Amino acid sequence: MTLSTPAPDPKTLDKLLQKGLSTKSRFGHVALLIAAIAMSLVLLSLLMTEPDLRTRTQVTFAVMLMISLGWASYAAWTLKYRWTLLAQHRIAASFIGITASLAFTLGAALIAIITREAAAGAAATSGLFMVALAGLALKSALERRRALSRRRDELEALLALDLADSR
Amino acid sequence: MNLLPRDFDYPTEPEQRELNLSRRELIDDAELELLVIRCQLGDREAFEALIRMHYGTLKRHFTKVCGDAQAADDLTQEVWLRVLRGLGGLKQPRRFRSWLFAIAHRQLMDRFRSRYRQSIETSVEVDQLPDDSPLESRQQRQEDLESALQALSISDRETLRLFYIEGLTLAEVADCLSLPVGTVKSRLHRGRSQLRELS
Repeated sequence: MTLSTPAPDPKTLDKLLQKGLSTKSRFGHVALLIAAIAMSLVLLSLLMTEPDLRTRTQVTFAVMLMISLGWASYAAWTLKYRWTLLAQHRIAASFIGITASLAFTLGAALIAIITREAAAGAAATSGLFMVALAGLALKSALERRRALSRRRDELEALLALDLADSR
Repeated sequence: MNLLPRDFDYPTEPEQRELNLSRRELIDDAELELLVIRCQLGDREAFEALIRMHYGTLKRHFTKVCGDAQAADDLTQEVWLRVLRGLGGLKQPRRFRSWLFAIAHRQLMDRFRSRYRQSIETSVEVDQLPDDSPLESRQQRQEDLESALQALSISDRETLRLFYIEGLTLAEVADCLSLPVGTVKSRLHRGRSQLRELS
């Protein structure tokens, strides 16, 4: 429909691809999201299982919880709108999430067994919630890749048919 | 075996040309959708092909809408960066073109907002406006329309350009500009009236 216009020069193209497809920025935000969720769960566990803490400490924890939830929201928003993950990025990010949340859960469980602290037990329980969340993210990422691959195959078949027809 | 009904009318040559054109458009759409899907699957070569395919179109759009080659170059690169960063989240790959122009529109508006007080020159040469005589080629007609559009305000120019030059549908233009279809229709109507008055 439009008139033919020149493509970018190779240098510009390479610069664009390097900047736009940076995995560093994407996985940096994935790491921030996981860390912020883990921090939020630890703080939430402390607040819920330590009612005898001084009010000042409780307020401090609540403020810290708000801050970590803020970071988690920022990372989630960025990954949804600014640095969206491609199909294989989503799968890799889900595996990172599963590994990190398993490590968190096992660590918290170990501390709970050794120290018999209720907060550690609660953190381990909420860690299981994180594992489940990461598992769901992995399921959704695999489904997304499957759907895209299926559509790609359909379109390739359609275009091959058109090519055969035109010969 | 006779597969066609007796009263079957073969399409006339112009009708057949129209059918072939629609088929070609469908194939072009399928090719573009395939390219976008390959990008979403993480194929770097597909990203390169996608940029090569649309970089010039976008640059030309900005050049024509804002009338400044350097600004158009910057805007084009900014839009492509946004596209590369956000393509993974595009739900309907077949709507890539309207999504691309929607990003372009937002980028353009951001640029104008930041230069709000700066006057925007829309110098128009009346003799550049299209006349009613049949023009020799489609390309010439597009060039004439591009020149004529310089007479309009930026918002009308952008709307008419997306509809007549880029070939987006009414719904796609409305989607790009975040406007109701009725507003797009009235902008098209106003733009056409202004062009008629000026010619």
